[in-house]
Formats: sequence, C-alpha cells, structure tokens
Amino acid sequence: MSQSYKDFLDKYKIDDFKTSLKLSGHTKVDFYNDIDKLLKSMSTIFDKLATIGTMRGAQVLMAIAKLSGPDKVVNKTDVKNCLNMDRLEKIQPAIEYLEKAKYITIEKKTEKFHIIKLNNKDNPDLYIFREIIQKYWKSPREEAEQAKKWSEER
Amino acid sequence: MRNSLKSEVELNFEDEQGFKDSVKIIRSEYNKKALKSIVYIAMVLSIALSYLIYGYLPYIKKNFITGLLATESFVLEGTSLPLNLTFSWTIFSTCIFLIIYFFRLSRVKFTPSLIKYIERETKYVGFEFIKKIESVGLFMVLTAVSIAILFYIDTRLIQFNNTFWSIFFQNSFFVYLLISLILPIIFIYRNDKFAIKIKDNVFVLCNLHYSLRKNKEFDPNLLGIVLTSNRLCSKFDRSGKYIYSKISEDRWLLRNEPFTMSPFLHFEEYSVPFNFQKQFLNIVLALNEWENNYISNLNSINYYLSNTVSYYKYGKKKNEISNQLIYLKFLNH
Repeated sequence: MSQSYKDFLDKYKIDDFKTSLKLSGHTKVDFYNDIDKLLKSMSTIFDKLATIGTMRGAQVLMAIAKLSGPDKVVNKTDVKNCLNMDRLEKIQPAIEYLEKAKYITIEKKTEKFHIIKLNNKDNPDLYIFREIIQKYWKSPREEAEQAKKWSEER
Repeated sequence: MRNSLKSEVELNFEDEQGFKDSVKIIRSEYNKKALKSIVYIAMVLSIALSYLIYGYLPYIKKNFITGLLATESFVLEGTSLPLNLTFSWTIFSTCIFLIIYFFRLSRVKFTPSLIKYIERETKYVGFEFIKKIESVGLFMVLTAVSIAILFYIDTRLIQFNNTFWSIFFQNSFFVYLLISLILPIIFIYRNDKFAIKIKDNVFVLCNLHYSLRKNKEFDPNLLGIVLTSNRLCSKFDRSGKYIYSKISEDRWLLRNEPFTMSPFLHFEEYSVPFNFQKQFLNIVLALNEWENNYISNLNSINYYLSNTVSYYKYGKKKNEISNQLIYLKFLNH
C-alpha cells in the first residue's frame, strides 16, 4: 500500500537509474493500483480543499472539469445541478472570479445561454486535473443521490 | 433578506457581507430568545410564588406530601381546597420542569432563521431536519399518571393504613413522584436534540458552536455546526473500531473529540454553513459504508469462530476483491 509519492518511487526504484523497471504480472497490477491510489488521494485532497475554502471557486472548477468532455456543452445550470445547489446566485461570484483569473472561458451564445469551458490553453495543468476529477471525484449531486437511495432502502 | 410580511429571515453565507449580516441576525435572535426564556421563567416563578403565599403557606408546617401520604387519618387543619394535594403537586412539578426547560432553551443556540437555513439545506439533499422534544411528552404522561393517583388520594378513593401493601404502595408512589420529576429533566438535557433523520434508527445530531461575543473581525469559522451520528458500536468492539477508523480516515472525519467519555463510537464531522451540505453528505455516506461493512457482534462471534483474519469485510478480503476488479479493468484497457 503506497499513499506517499516518495514511497512509490522507492518501492519501484523509479529514481534509481541503475535498476531497470520491470513490470509483469502481479507487479504490473500493484503498480497500477499504487498509481490509482495516489490519484484517488489527490482527488480527495482537491475535494477537501474545495470544501475548506470560503469561496466556491474550487468547487465550481471541479464541477466544470467533471462535466467537460469533447462532445459536451456545459452551462451555468449544469454546474449548479452538479454541485446540488438550490440557487444560481450561489455560484455566480465564483464563476466571475474564475473567468477573471482565466481558469475558465465563457462563450455567450445568447443573453441567457452561456457555454463554460476549462481554459486548458492558458492552464495546461487543467488537463490532468480534469482527468483526475472525472475518474475519481464524486459530485455533490451524485453523493446526494447515493445517500437518498440508501436512505430509502429498507 | 428580511421578508416584512412574514418576518422571515433568509440567511446568506455566500459572501463576507452576507456572512456578517447573517451572524448579526443570529445573535440578535439568540438574545431575543434568551430574553423571552428569562421572562417565561420569571412568570413561572411568580405563579409558583403566588401559589406558595396564598395557597400553601398556611400548611407549610405540615410537611405536605409525606404528611398526606403517611396515614389514612391525616386531615388538614382548617378549610382547604378539595384537591389540595393534586393541585399542589401539579403546580410544583410543572414549575420545576418549566423553569429548567426554559433555562435550557435559553442556552440552545439554534435560532429560527438558522433552523430554517439548515432545514432548507437538508431538504434540498432529500432529508428531514427534526427537533426532537421528548421531555415534554414524557413529563405530560408521567404527570398525568401522578395527577390521577393524587386525585384518588385527595377524594379518599385511595386510603392508606399500616399494612405492608399500603406502606409499600405509599413508598413506591413517593419514588414514582420523584422519578416523574427527575426523568423529564434528564430528558431535557439528553434527548431534546436537533437531528436529521436519515432512515429508520439512523440519524445525525446537530450541535452549534459559535461565540456570542461581538467580534468585529470577519471569521468564516465563527459559526460551526457539529454533526454527530447515532452510536455505531462499543469502543471495545475491535472489528467495529477498525472499520470506524478506516472510514473516518478515508473521509477525513473528526475522531474522539466531543464523545471521549462515551463508551460508544460515533462518526463526527465539522461544518460551517457554507459547506454544510457537503459535510453532511460526507457523514451520511460514512454511515452507509458502515452499514455495508460492519457485522454486528453476534455475527462477528460466528466470524471469529470460522476465520482467523479479524478485519472482516473491510480487511484483506475486501481488498482482494477490489484488486481483482482493478486487475480486470486494467486488462480491459
């Protein structure tokens, strides 16, 4: 079980250039599982940091990352629903901030319909961010649905 | 924020100004509530005092309750109300109960607008925020029984003599009167809580932490909501403790904070109004995981007898299953 990046490097001797990395059979599975754990931990850290912060910027960014995809169109209502918010006003200041900070771009199709995208061009780190979030992060809407489903079980 | 027609206040914790205004509203509501409770206590005290002066004082030398219960031949000197004992006990117990109830109410930090806020947030996730007041119901039931018996004593339908059963009933009834007074008071402190019902026998208790002193500096953590699950298992249950630690670790839940004296394990989570929904879902899903992974003691004993690994579902076996799944997923890639 490796949850530390340093332990991970040590375990497979990745930073030891005298030893070649041999992955086969179970070692390959272990290697995959260890990377999986590291990325999952990173997703948890993102989630917790987003909850600690007083502004919803991080949560909105995570929701956009979760919803984004090559054939997907994301608008503010989608983000609101993903975060299980009752009102759009709750995320409005965060969206404005993210746009000003150039973390997202907003394409205004009509007065009310705005398409939101991650600004990968200016922030290439958002590629890996999106991948981690899409694979490991459970949105508040998904969590609420899971909780509700369980509460209705007899 | 304020609806003048219904005098409803909607709290907003989304920005600094909204937060400051909301805290101000909560403080003023709390002060009003505390003042109201003090007025109610004063009213109850004045009623009790008036009764004591005008009704009870002439018989004060008689050691009222024990005297009346002592012998069949006990008769009050002078003219008295026909239901003197019933009336006195009702006034006495009700006053004591109400004074403690209002005193406790004045210390409870939940205010109407805050209750509304939590109610709305909880409802939006699909759950129900409830105020559990068990003490009032219990007090009414116990007092109704004692009033009924005292009524029979007052009207001489029940009379005492020096036989064993008579003395036994007399003492038992005296103990009952004490219990009917003490038990609801214990319930005021232990059972009257604000809780969110998750499912049958599963709930999350809400407690508030905030300073009532006027603080000019903006502090988003000024108002904290502590969420505590119902009891999970005994602290001495090794398997339960392991699963509890694993779930708490994975979900970053608080550990061993407010319930250090309790012999049971509880999940605990701390939230501020801004992230209440998210933290609440975190503790609910922790409870879900607990239910899916914990085997009750009875099953655990059977498991102990048939297995040497004590990690149950959450231990090695579970990891093996998940490893296999990842392995298959990995091969499919």
